[in-house]
Amino acid sequence: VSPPVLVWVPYIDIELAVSRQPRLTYPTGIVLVAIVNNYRYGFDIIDATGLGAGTVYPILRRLEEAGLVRSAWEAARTAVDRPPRRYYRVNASGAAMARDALQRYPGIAGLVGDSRRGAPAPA
Amino acid sequence: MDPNPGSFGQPRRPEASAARRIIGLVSTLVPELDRDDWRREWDAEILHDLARRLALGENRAAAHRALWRRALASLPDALWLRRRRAPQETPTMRQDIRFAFRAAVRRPGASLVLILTLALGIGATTSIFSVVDAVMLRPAPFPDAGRLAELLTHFRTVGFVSQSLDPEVARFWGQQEQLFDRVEPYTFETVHLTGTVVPRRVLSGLVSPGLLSLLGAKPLQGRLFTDDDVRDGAEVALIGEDLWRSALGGSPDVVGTGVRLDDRLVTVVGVLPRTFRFPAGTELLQPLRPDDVADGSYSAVVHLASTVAPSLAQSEVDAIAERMNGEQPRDEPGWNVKLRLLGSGNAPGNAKSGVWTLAGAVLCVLLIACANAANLLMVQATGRRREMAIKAALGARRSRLIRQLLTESLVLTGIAGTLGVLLAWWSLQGIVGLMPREMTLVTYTSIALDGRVLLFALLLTGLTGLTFSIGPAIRYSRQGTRLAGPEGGTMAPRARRDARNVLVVVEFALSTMLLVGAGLLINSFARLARVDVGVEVDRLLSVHPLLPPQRYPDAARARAVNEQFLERLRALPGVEAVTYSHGPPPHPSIVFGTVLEAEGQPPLPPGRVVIPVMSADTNYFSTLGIPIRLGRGFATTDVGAESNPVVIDPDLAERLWGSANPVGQRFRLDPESEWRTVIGVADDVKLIGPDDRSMNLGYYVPGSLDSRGAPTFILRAKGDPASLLAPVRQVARELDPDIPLENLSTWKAMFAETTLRPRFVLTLMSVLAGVALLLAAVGIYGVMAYVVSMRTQEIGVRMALGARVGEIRWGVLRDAFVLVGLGAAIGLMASVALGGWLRSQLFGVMPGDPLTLAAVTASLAVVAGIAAYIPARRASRVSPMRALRYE
Repeated sequence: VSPPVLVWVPYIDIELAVSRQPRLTYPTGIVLVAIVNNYRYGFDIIDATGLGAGTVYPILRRLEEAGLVRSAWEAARTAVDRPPRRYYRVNASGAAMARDALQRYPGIAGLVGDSRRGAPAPA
Repeated sequence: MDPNPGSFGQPRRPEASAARRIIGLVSTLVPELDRDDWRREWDAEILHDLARRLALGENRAAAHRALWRRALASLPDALWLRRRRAPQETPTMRQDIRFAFRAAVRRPGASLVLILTLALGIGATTSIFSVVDAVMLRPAPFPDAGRLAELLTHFRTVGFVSQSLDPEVARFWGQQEQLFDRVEPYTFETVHLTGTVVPRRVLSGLVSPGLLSLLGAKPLQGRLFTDDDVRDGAEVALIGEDLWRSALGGSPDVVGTGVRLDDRLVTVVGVLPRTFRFPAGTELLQPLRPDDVADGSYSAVVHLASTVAPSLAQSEVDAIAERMNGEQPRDEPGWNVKLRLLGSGNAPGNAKSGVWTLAGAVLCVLLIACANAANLLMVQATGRRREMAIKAALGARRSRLIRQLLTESLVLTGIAGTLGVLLAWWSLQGIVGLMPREMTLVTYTSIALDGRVLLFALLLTGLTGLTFSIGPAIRYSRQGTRLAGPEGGTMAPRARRDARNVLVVVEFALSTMLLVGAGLLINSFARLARVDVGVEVDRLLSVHPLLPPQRYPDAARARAVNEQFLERLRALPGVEAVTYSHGPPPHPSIVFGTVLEAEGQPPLPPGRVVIPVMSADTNYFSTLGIPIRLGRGFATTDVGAESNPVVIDPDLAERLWGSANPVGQRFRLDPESEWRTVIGVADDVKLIGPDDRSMNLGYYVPGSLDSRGAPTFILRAKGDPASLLAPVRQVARELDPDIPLENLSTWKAMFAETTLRPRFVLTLMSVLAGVALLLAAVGIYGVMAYVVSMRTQEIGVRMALGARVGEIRWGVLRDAFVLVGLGAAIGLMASVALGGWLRSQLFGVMPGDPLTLAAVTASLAVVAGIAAYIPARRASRVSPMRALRYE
């Protein structure tokens, strides 16, 4: 994780000079680990983590904006008889941050298991 | 993200529609850019969840309740996105304006200069063009003004146009129905309005009822004249709004009341609004009766027949006059008439030239203001290139940057415009206050701030602001603009520098022209002020009592009261001498003639002869302090003498007899008049004020209190003549409280009034030239300051290498002087070339006066030197270490 860089340029409106990393809070850690563990869309993550939709979505947005998580729409042909979903996945720095989260909040590992194994498992 | 364009068509599970309606509702909170994406995601989630719950065998109602809760949870998500994205993605106008204010405050000096520059330009232009418009351009505010004209007598041989028409001539033209479908006569008379607090002499218009309807008069109160008024000879009057308010206290029930005019009781039938000003200068109207027309001359307004093109009307008139003069040869004035169309500008020529001078000057100021604003904006934009590049690098879109710069310039222009309007309004009051009566009286409309002119000035400055801020905005917001280098950008730095330099040169050229104009006017005004008018104006006071003819119907009674008045004035303490004259300066009576002829010599070539003539009492010359050069002044025996004795002034003597002694010689003004014998030559007097080029000839006839017309009494004070004003008024009141006193004034004040027009033009020209110089100074300062800031690094290197402070300063000053010198040279050449325009405004100075040109050049050099010295000093104080780190 690169440290926050303080850019001071004369005459720059502060609103435009935004380059912030999300703070690694407990819920952020849970969401990250959930994605790493293949819970890949909104309600799935909500169900897996027990966090509210009003918490999970802003975290997803923030992670995506910071470039830790990427989202992609499901291809139309795989979404038969239903609208395509938006899938989230972590990239390398997101995965690194997830490892950080597990180190900092070891309890998360027990909370969010790998969806493919259907049971909580250590990362 | 990768928005998949795939659509999911109709909702497949209508059961979820309630939850999805919530999503739809909440989605309106989401910034537009994210909205579709956001909605698709939530829709998909809701539908999946419902399907999953139903598949797990969950109770339908419970599943829906759960979905409801989940859908409601989209609200925090939407709000979060809104807050997160709003400042960047959906900038509101308010935010733009806030940024703009912040940007303006961050550079207070530059913003203030820009605002003041534009405000001055807008204010000065609007107020002076409003005057020009009212005096010269605006058609008279009458219905169908384009087909209205005044009928004037044209004295062809002397080239003189008179407003009065011979009744026979007027009747003749009135019958030319193929030309004029209406001819409405009017004339003037001076009446004494008595019974009010201060008896007043009022200029009254005698008008036919048809004239008022032709001109579309609408009374504020009461009615207009009717044909019945004329037929019955009713004593009725319409009063002007100003007279109603000032003399009659503006009482609301004035209609039907009586006023005394020349001791006649006249009923007021209506009040005319201030906006109706015809005939010019009148305060009161009375109906014109046919027998008024029969004797005496009058004027007429005609309405052109629909078959006559206004532009061709004059030539048709000339053709008819030619034919009539041919059939029945007549002496002047003949059938010749001139049409003055009311639809075009209406000021007489002498008032026009001054106003045109001002109009040209103010246009120069506006151009300078725009050039300055352009310059400042370009400099500013270049200075902000780095800021733009960083914003672009941080993801600000180009449209966003342009939009912001646009808002900034609009905010600045808006402030400047508001200030400019205030300035215009305020300065117009001042200008109208300064305007000599002769300029304001001739307008048929009141002078008010002109909306169209204001709009024009606002648009021009706004356009300047936009052009010179959008250009750089587009340039600097271009993709790939690099941060490096102070002159980064796509336009070659040289071209941009040249553009700025050209603007400065233009500014200086224009302000040089204005300064030359103002300098010439100041110079000629100073000469005018130094002119010896030939009488001791500082000691004199005059008063012109107007005896109401109804109270003093015969000459004997008039003479008695005038003699009494004279005695009482002589008895006043502080009075050294009292004399009287008919038509003394500075408003002398005038005689017209056709051929000036000295006895025994061939007559001078015929031409217009307009000569001031005054009567003089025996002690006139001694009281006024006019020396008699040759011969003698008047004695009591000269009054009514057979020989028609006159005292002439040296100009007339020189014109008629050259250097020969004129005493005892005779002359006349046209072949039909009697010979006049010269008994003396009085020293030259400037009869119509210091600038008497048009009327330098003049002569005096012996005066007595029996002479026709009211004499003006002239008092010579022992001390200050102004201290006699109150005692003179008291004397008149004791004699007869109903005698109005005209021209009760010191001669000093009266002569000062004659230079009011040059002073008016001069004052405004000086103000405009000052503003222009200030703006040009700001322009050169801006450019030099910018150049210095761009060259800081170079200067630092040179200082580090041992350049001396003086060299650095001189380098900057030299650059400035090259621009100023070039501008001044162009300006001087242009002002010499255009000097002819100013000639009629000048007195004793030629347009190319070298002293004035030198003074202007010197003052330009000083101002430019000061303006450029500030950045030059800054340059020389550059610390090499800091300079090398700069940018």
